[in-house]
Amino acid sequence: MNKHSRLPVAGHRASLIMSVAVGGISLTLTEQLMAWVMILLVCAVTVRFMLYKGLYKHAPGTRTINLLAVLASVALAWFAIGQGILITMINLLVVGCALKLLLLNRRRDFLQLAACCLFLVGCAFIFSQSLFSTVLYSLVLFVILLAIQLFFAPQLGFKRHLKRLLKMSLQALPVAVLLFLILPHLPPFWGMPQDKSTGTGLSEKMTPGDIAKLTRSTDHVFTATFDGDVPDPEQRYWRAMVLEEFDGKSWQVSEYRKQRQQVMTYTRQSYRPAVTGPAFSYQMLTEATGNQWLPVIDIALPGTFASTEKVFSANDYTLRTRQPMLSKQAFDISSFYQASLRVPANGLELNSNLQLPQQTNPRAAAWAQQLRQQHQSNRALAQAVMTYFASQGFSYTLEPPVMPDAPVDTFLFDARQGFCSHYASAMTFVLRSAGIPARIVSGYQGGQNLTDNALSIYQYDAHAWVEASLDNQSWTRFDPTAMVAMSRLQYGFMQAMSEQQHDAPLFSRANPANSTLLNSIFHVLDSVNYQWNRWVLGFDASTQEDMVSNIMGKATGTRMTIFMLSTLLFIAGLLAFYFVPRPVKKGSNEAERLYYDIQKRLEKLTGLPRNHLGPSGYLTLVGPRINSSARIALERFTQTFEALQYQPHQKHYSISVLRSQHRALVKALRKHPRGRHQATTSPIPG
Amino acid sequence: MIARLRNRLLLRWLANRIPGKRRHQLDVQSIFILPTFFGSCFFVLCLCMFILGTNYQNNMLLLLTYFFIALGLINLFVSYHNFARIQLQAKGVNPVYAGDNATFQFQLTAPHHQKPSGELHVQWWGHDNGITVDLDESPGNISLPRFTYRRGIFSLPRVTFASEYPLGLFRCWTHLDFTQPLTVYPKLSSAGIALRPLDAEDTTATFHAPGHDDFQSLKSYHPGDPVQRIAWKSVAKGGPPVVKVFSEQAGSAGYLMLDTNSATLEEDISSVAYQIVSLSQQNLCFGLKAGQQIVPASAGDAHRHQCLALLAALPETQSKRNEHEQA
Repeated sequence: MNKHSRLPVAGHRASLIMSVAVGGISLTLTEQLMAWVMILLVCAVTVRFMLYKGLYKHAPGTRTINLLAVLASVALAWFAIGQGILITMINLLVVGCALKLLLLNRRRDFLQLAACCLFLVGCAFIFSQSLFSTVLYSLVLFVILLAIQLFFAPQLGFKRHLKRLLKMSLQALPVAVLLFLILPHLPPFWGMPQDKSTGTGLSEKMTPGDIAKLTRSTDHVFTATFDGDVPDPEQRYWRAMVLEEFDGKSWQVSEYRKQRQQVMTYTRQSYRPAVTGPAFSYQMLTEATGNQWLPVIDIALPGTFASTEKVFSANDYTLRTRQPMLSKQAFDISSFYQASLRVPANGLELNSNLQLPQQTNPRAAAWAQQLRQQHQSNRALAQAVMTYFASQGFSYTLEPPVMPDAPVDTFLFDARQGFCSHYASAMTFVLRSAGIPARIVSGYQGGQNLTDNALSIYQYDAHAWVEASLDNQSWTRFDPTAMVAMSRLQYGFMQAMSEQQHDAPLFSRANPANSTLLNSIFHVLDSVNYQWNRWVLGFDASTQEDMVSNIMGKATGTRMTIFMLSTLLFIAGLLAFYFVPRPVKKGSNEAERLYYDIQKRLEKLTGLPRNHLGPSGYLTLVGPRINSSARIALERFTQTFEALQYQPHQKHYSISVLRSQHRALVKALRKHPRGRHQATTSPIPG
Repeated sequence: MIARLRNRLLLRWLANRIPGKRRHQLDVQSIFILPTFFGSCFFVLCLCMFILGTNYQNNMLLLLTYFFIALGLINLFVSYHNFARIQLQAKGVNPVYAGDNATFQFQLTAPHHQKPSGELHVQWWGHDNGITVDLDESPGNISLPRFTYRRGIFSLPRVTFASEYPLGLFRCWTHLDFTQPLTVYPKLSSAGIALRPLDAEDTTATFHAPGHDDFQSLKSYHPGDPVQRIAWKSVAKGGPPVVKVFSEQAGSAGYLMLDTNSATLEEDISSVAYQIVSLSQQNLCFGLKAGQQIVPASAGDAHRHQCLALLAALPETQSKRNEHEQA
């Protein structure tokens, strides 16, 4: 009990298992850990192993470890600037674990290490929550718990350790699931520090060329599960953000929108667009991208209260989450695909969407003026631009030539090769030059059918298109890319780009050369993951509400209380079931159990209770009432039983013999004709 | 002062709750269970993970948190059940001389077919250190040493048993009173042997020490000789009755005297104790008079223990007692 008691070094199983656990954790966190931290950890685990084996006698001294700790903290502080606080904390914890592992010689050290490891497993879930990771982390967790249990019962056999721990874990699991289901799912208490490295996908500043990188990425972005059928491919424009500011090369979210969004984030306001017409209702399950924007179709509004709490609409008809999406989250969305995107009345938005940097792309500006003279109506002008793309030998490629100066001019008149952002950028520029308010919308287009009513959207579905206000009343969508690559629009990126994906990694989703088998495996994995995401990771307050109302009808306050109380009672009952001592079966050892089993059968068959007779006495009593085969089996059984009970050192009577005789006897008794007064002729021998 | 009062109140409460018995089966009455420091840290960790999980809206983290809480809950029961399987029976404690280690022996049994597991920490009430027994090694007999400082007849203090199996989150413990008296004989301090007659009349009385004395010779029987000394073998052969004579019978039994009002009582007791031990080693017959109490002259181990126990039980003089209390 003494806190300072020293631990044995060589042969201390708990320390060894704990070091295995620490190694396991670092393996699950390879992406987050820095290389030198990993090396330090590997060294620590090796040292621990050598100490266990007794190959190495002296554990490193405290002074050495302290020196190492100082060096490590300096290194961590040095690298901390480039990484977010979260990653640095994880690295710090792992470094701490590694150093503690080297210095593991007191009871206190071991427990500190154990607590650290448990926390690290929790942290690992921040980075990945997929089914595969969950299985992996559960294994690591099991090893940690095993090490702790070994620490508190060092002499217990390893197998029994495993058995007991497994039993406890299995007992705890239903309780945990119940708690998860009934305890309220609270909104975040406060914003967590954002991690620089987690933000992936589209960015708020787009230079033509950026999306090319994204289209190489097979990262999953979100899954949308529709209440009805999925929308047609032409309707699957997932708007994420509106880029209105152009500096001659790059497009970005305008400053005033950014400010507005920040204000809305903090003040919990939301823009309320007027909507009419039918809507797609769907549930979005987003990956942990670390971003705040939510790609949705057309004018979208959150569908449930829980989702309303989590997102807000900006007045450019985009949706944003109030918290960065640092874990998988579910949102219920309704998209009003027939409602028009109205332009706010104050003219500010129209003006800012006419803004152009002076003298950046003179040839395009001149061409726009020319078009303006040819076409009176805005619609005709826009159509002319679209036709220009379709007719002037433009092509869609992910590897366009570099266009450093006047990119719009170069693209429109010289290169004529590019992908969505080039087309969108050029068209918006031309429209603006011609006096038509226009802007770029970036987001995703398409999506793969996961099930009949679910779509999976990957990073390679990233897309950019144009919205122009032809009548100064509402925004109209134009997709110039569709003029050159119609197949992309209709069949999705994968089919359209099949000839350009040769450099995609082997066994990647983006590699169409893969066999159909691989494809179907990917599909099965996707579906399993999708269900996992949907039911486990997507479980939130609204799902919980639905579940409760499914069980109890309308979820009123009292009913919720009753529900929670009854579940708590259920948990108490479960615990009682686990632990209330059951009446100990008569006969604590196996031989006795077997004998009582036979005794019960004989009593039932013959109607003669054993009362206080000994085994041979009972044999004499019962013998005449059963047929000879059963009697012989019973004689053998009784003999072995007595030998086992009263002469336990006789080697040739073993429990296995008794077991097989028991089996034979049971068989004989089963075949035995029923009837209480079966007369037998042969006397009982012996 | 407060600590002592607290200790006394606690002991009184314990005496009601877990009365002293030779055999204890641990149960709801006698088992205390509370989270250990590690266990408290574990639950704080759960809280941290809950906050982290809620803030990141991370369901897996929340599920893990609830798993930890459930595991803690399950552990509470497992810990208790494991501990409640233990049955303890006192085997007694041998008397020792002051300054030596007494070992209290008790037997650890598990009446259920499921044996308790893990380490069991055994220590005396109020002591920081004790011994650790691994229940998986089925030790059976456990002896707990106790250092003795001064002579006397004490009742053994309560023994604290504690276990943190299986995950160290909860500590089950109990304080058991085995109602065992511990006799601590006085410390020995060498002194010359001073046997004195008890008083004038008694000097003539011959004394017959029973037991292992050396046989010396035979002499003819006179009426008044003890019957048990007649050599029946020779009587059976038809000879005249003869009586066996033992070597010791030559000297008459002396008494060790102790003045209980002496100023140097403890020293006197020590030296008397030494004399008792050395007389016993020579297997001589002696008696003991301490104040008004008299142990009749005799010899042998039982006699030695009787004498030493008498010495151990002597009340301390007033001055000595004050000294102890101040110490």
